[in-house]
Amino acid sequence: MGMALANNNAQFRQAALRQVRSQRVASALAVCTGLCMTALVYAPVLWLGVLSVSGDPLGGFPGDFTWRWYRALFAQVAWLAPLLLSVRIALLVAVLCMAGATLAGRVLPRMRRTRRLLLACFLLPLAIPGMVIGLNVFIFYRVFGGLRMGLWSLVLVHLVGAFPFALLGLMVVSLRFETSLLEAAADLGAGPWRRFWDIERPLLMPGIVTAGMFGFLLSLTELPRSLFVAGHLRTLPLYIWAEASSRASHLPLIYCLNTMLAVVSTAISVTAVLALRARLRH
Amino acid sequence: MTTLSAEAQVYLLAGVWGLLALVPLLVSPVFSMVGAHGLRIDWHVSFEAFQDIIATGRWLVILRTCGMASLVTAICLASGFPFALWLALKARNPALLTLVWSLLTIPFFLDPAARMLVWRSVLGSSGMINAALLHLHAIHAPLQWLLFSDFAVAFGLVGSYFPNMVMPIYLAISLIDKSLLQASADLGAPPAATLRHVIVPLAMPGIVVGTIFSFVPIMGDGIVSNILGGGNQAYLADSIMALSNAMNYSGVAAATMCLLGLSGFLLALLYIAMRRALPGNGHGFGQ
Repeated sequence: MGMALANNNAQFRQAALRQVRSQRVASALAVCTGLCMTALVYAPVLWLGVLSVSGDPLGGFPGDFTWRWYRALFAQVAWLAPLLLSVRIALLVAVLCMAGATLAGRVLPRMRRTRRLLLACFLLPLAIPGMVIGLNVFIFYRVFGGLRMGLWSLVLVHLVGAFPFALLGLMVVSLRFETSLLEAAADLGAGPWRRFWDIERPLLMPGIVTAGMFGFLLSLTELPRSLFVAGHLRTLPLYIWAEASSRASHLPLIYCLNTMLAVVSTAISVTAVLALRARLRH
Repeated sequence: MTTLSAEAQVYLLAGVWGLLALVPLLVSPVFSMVGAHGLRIDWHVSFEAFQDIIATGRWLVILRTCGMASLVTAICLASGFPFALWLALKARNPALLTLVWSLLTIPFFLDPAARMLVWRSVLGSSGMINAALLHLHAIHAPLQWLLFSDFAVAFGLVGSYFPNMVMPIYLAISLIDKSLLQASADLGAPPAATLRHVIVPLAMPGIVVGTIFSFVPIMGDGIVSNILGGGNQAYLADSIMALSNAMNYSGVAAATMCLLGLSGFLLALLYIAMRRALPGNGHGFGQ
């Protein structure tokens, strides 16, 4: 009897060990694939930086490292106007995203019956390819409004692309918002504006900032939606797209421009992620 | 601000959003079924644009695009789910977690064309991989299938849409109440059973959202196929761009409807298949 029990126990221990070992293998495998895929996402971005300081970026191996292409880039100013236009649009989109996301995102978690419908309506563009949105906006306003494309249409399609993300960014924070704070404030006699400004605004601030950054960055790098609604305007991604497809000799300069754009984007998005995570941990 | 209640403000915003952003999306169904010449509409019902898709052989392009999108989505799901699982359940170090989160977020904010342009210089016939292989005498002539090929397009798409798949699945798994997993283990379920009967059903919303967020944009991605595919109209987005350049807007609308309809159909099939495959008929939905 005792023997059998000990035997059983040993078997059980062995099975448990085997399980732990196979779990470790599975974990390692998962991490490996994940990191490989993440590397695949980042390899081109890092390679962009390497190529931008490489003497002959169009040949096989990078090498002969030089700042020549950056100097050449700063010697000409053709990209400056597209950059300024892109920043202007991005700032507009960022402000609209912040305002809209705050307005909807702080109330949506509290709405019981229509929350799903409204959320689906705001998030719908996420499930539609960017190019389709751009084309539809162009055709709709051109045919039924007789409007010429321009700044307004660029801002509109960028907003359609960015607002769902901005709203989600804000709701990450607002879903954890303690609504009893608002009831307490109301009991103490604070009006709706006072409740928003003194309680919700400071507590939701990381989400509001994130919404703005999402809007700014998504607009700054937006290409597929812009292709059809730019009219005679040229944003920076459109400029890069046109240069890259027309003149191969300009490619080194495009690498430099993109490297700088990637550095700025990365810095801003890291800030946004850190702000969000800091708030989530509280 | 004080005159409208907070909820009324949201309805107002939704109304403006619907008018400016969602109503234009009705262009596709309308334009695909009326006779339109360029931007002029003749208001009569006509399915000419859809017949053109069959007559011009565009339906083959659509099938190819579906195949490519399914393949890339499957690769992303197969590699993304285990990674998301590890990220949500096993990664304890907050610094590491923040790093991976940032790494997965940043690609959303990078110029899509720039990343693909770089692959050209790596995969091209005088690019780095061919140069290295030639140098090592592994091959005698540059590999032509590396660039401007289906391989290059699949490669570029996987790298572009992997984060779209991982993020929603990660969020869904990290929202699972950890005491459920403990309870499953305490009741004697091996990890595989816990995964199949507890984690996957509860993570299903994330899996569905991740699949939609990768499959649908891949179906309509014209940038990767344009830069890495060589632009010979092999994929639906190239087709749509060409139709738009030719100002054949009813053709554009019909192709778009095929894109959206097929995406919806395939995703619905996938959804049903997943629910069937799961025990307990997919708890975790609609909660």
